Amino acid sequence: MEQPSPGFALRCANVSKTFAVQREQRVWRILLGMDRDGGGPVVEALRDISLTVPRGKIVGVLGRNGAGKSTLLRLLGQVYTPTTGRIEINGQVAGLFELGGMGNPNLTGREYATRYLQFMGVAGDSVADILEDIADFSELGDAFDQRIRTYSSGMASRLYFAVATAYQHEIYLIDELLSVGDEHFQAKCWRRMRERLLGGASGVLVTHDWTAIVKLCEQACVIDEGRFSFVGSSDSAVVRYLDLRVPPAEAARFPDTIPTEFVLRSGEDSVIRLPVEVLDDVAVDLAISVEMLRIGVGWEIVILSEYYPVADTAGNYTVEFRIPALPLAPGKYSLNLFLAQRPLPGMRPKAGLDCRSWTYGNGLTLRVEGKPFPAAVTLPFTVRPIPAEAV
Amino acid sequence: MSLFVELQQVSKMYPVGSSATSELVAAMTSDAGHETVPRGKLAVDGISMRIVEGDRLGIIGRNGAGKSTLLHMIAAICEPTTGAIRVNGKVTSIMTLGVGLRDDLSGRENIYVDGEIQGKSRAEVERVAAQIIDFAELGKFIDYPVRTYSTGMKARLAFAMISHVAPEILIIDEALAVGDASFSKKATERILEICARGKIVILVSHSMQSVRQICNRCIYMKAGQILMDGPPLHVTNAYLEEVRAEDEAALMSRFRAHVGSRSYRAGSEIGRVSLLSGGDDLGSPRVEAHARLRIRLAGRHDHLAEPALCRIRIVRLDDLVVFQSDFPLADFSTARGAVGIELEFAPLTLGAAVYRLDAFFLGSAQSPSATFCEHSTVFEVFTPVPPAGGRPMLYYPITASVQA
Repeated sequence: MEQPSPGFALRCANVSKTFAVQREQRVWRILLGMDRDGGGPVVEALRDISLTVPRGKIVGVLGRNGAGKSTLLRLLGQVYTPTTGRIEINGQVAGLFELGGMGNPNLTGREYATRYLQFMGVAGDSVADILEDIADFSELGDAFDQRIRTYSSGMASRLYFAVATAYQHEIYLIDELLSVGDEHFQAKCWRRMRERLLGGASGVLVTHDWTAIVKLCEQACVIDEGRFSFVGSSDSAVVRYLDLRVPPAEAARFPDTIPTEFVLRSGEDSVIRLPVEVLDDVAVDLAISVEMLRIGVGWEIVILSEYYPVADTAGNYTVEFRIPALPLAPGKYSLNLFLAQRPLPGMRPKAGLDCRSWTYGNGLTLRVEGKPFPAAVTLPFTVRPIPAEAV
Repeated sequence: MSLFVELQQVSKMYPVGSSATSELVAAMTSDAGHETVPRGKLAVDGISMRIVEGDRLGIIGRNGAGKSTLLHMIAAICEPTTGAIRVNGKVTSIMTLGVGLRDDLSGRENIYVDGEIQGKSRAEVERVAAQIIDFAELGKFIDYPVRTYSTGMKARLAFAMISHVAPEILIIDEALAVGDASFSKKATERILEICARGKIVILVSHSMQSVRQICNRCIYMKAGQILMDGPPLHVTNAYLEEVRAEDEAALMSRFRAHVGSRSYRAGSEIGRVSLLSGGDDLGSPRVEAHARLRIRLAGRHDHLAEPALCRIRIVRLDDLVVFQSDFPLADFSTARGAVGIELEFAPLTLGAAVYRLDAFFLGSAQSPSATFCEHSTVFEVFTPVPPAGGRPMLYYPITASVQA
């Protein structure tokens, strides 16, 4: 993690944060000199946190409720001071946490935005454009000129997000990026964050949504009870965070001889051949998926098969999945296999028997060879000339 | 007597003033004792309804539709401007989780204080306290002041407390979104348990899945009014359909700058591009997944002596290029320069999403400056039956066979 980078955006070294657990009447005890050393019980919210955010990168922090995520963000945003350790910040910070914490509800949306821009030192001709953009992005319409206290909570969060991301900051501190607004608005927030990152922004994203981490971050940490239990690439962090129980592979499994990498050629009719050992007389189904995992850029399922029946009785089987005219661009993909017990009619869900997936940390690789082409996938098509009048 | 909530012509108006000063002036100059004409934003507009025992009501709608205001009035957090609300039963609400917790007391103390307020005996409180502590999973933090808790921890404690007081009318505002996956699953199960006891549950959520899972009745609110009231599956589907239609309109207007045709060289232009889905012969921007799609392009290009290409590109709304192909223009032109191309995808394998279709006439595939003309349009791929297990980029036809 500690790389000798020429410029980092943000760095903290051995940071700890301890909160004293204060009981009632402590003020008197302090005044009377009875509690000078604050000897009461303490909560160690963060312990020995070291983190470097290189310029132009967003580092992810994955953790469950109460793990210390919000405390960390508050420390980085200088809301709290660390008990021990150092925090260095190299740029202008926009905090996308506790959205609206600095808002006076008696301001109108426009007044709030104007005040924020003044506070951030934005001046001159660009202000009008930025305000226009905020009004447009937040989709508040006439409400933009009404007071924030008349807003619904969703409207307020749309305003705060639009304001905080309205122009390019150097460092973003983001808490649960996509918890703002409805599905439609979330997609917009996502694109906006992506633009800011392409514009050279750095930042820290704390969340429990692992898909957000692999899409936006190359590096990520897992925080657990106030400590980093893992620091490394974001896909490994996800494996560590999910900590999925690998199915027992007792009734049916893939043999050890199964290849860890499959190689196919782009555009060709392809076959993926999978050996399956069924050890008990159980009904077994198999599904596969191909995922595009470009860490820090995107994560997406490209192809997803249905569950196909493999067997009802014990034995060794070979399943062939046929993909006509393989539509994938050359590159490396993650191939996931899900061997599951077929549920009885009306019963759900499927019980996993043996699964291979990068989220379990045992995924397979699919390498697609061929000439590069200018799209993520290709679609089989035919083309013919027609009379222009027919269109 | 059975539990119910009854609303009669309930409206809520929030005053909208240009500034604090003007409101103050208005308040000072208006005659005391006279009803001033209310002026402002009508958050809830004349709603009448009856919620009865056994109802598990979901309230859905876009942000700002008045959902939260309605809940606040039922929970008596605010009063209606006009109309009346009658409630029979004890209302317990989870609005902003954690409100109502006493910051300086520990989690455990909060449970006891709350019990006292509910009028429970010490013995009764003791009985549920252990369950609450167990459910909240706070570990040693249960004996620390609530002030030291993170948002998620407060949410867990508050939910645990509320769900263990045997509520009669339970109001939940987006609470299930708080907390990590495992806790929200537990919370959902808990709510289903409460529902099973036949009380009233009112839930506001943006998650159609939660509403379908928990509720047996659903209302769809828009601009302060009830647009629909019926079975959750029916109402949520109608809502999603309308949201999509609105999104499409919003999308078209957002892409207005991009949708259209531009020519950079005289005698070269793309006049028209139409999309024909299935057996349809009328163009439509809504394209069915798995069906045949024909893209037809008509234009003209008078400079046939020079080499020229037609490039067709499909870009998903998040800027992912999913298709790009170049065709020599000469193969699709008449001697007089009329161009007609039909591209057929049989079937179209793109997943459900919104896409932009770009067409260009180019002088060369390499040099971007050699663009003669371009044309863009937007379309959406939809499917009535989305696949289980994820939202793949492609709906690709895979087949399988098994050998023993």
